[in-house]
Amino acid sequence: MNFLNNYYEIAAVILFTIGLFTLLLQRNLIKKIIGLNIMDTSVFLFLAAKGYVTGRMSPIIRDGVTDASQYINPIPSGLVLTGIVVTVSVTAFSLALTLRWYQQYKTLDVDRVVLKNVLRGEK
Amino acid sequence: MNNLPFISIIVSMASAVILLLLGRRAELAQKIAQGVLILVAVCAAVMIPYFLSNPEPITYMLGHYPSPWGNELRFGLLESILAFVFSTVLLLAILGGKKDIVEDIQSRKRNQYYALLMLLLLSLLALIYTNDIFTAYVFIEINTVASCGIVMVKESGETLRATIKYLFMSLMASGLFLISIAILYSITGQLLIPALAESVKGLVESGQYTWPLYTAGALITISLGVKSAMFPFHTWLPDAHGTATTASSSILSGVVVKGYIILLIKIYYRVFGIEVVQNMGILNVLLALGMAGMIFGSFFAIKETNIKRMIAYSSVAQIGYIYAGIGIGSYAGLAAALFHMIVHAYTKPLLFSSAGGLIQASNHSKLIKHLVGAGKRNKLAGIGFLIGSLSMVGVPLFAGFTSKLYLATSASDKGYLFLIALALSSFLNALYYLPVVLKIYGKSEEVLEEENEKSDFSYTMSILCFSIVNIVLGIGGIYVMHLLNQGVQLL
Repeated sequence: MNFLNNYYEIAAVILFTIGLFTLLLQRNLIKKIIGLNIMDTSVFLFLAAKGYVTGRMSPIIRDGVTDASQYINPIPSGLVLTGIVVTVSVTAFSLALTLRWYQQYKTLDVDRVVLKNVLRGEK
Repeated sequence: MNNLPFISIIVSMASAVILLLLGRRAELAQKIAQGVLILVAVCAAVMIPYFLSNPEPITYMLGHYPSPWGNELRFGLLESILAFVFSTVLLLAILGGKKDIVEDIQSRKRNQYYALLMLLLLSLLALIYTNDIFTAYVFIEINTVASCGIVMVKESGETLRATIKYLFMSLMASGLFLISIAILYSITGQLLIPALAESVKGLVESGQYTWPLYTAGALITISLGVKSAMFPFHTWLPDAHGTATTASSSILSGVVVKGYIILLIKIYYRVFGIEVVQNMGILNVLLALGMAGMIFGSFFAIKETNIKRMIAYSSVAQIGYIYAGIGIGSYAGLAAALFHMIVHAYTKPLLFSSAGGLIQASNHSKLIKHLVGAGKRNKLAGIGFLIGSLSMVGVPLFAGFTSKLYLATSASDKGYLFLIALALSSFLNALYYLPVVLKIYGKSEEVLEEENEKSDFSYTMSILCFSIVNIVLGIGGIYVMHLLNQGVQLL
């Protein structure tokens, strides 16, 4: 078993699980959004670890070296960049909705609001 | 011909930006949005006869890098049919919900609503046409934000709660999709679908990395299942579809959930290959969940007292039919599932638009008990609801019957369980749709003023077109099935 050699991937999967369950189980909206960010960032760690090759340079041509074997794989870095942009935008969207939620209900707790509405007989 | 899909994508993207700049001119915004939708529909319609004579799908290179480095679009018969269906449904849904849009959305935000619809169109087209799995992820996120936006745009407590629920379920699913792409990339080193498929084939043949491959397959199924409201993950759907404004409800149930199912089908057939998916056991799970959805969705709908939530729960059942059709695993089953998808795309918006009219004719009450006699006060909406219900129940000559017939024939070698579930679900459908139909034509005790018959042209157009398509698909379904059968062979 080469589990111990893949510690980046193991860390990424553990972080992903933490993020996923924070997103699912926390009742506070801000904590949910933090969970979402942990989850997505763990994927970026996973991708960055996959693209890195020990001892090579970042994929920007330096000192006129054009030999591809001197550089790391650039595609995962590109994916991470795109992913960061996507995550930032959905985080902004969720935060805007959270703000609206707080203005309406004066609390960030999801369950309490839903419960209150059920008790009041609303659907 | 090669450029048409790219043109339709870029036009919808550009129009979204332009619509945001329009400010308060909502009428103009609506006209532009309709124009773009007609353009996209025409682009797709032109491609259908072309692909009938030269069936080979076209691959369109974006940028200057060839496969496997660059980004590509790929389109054939099936993709053009789906793009045509989606754009026409969007167009008719806007027309049918126009009155409610004016009532529910503040005038300074109406142009933003149309901009969101254009973004939705953009992401759906991209999901249909793209040949790159990471591009699909990006457009899934755009689709999520846009569809949460069109729920939230009717600003009330219930839409806020529905949007939050929908948003967090969707974001969880997006995270799962992202990690499954990362896993697939880490074992294959590819993102473009044909290259990915080749690598996956090699891995399966050599028996390497079986577990990562299975994990990726399962996670993709779960994530797209959550987004398309597959049965145990459907909890967000009744809230989001039941509270949004009429046009949004029509669009969300008619096209948005279908976009994810199309992507899932593409991943099954073109990335993994259907035999591999079969070996993973995913197809049996889909069949079982689909049948469970068919029955439980209908049960939940029977209990509902709110007409929009009832129609929304009926979507859960219909999506169950689609997943069961995919779960059959044969090309015939897939074609039947796609046919049912098209039928549902034209029927559910009809029901939501008519329900919108009925609700307006009953003092804006969504409760079924308040709708007594509404079909007489707004005759067109009543007829629309009648046709939609008959189609969903599966009465012969209507579209729903034809699609259920094809599902049943394609499943005949899978044992009787599916047929029993199909029959039971149809019976349950009748159990909740027909009482509502009887009620809207019943005698009203309180006197409400007659909906003034100053006919609303766009509403009439929308209900008429949806109804005609329903009957045409019911009678001439065999021709559409013929096209779909040809289309799925080339997936």
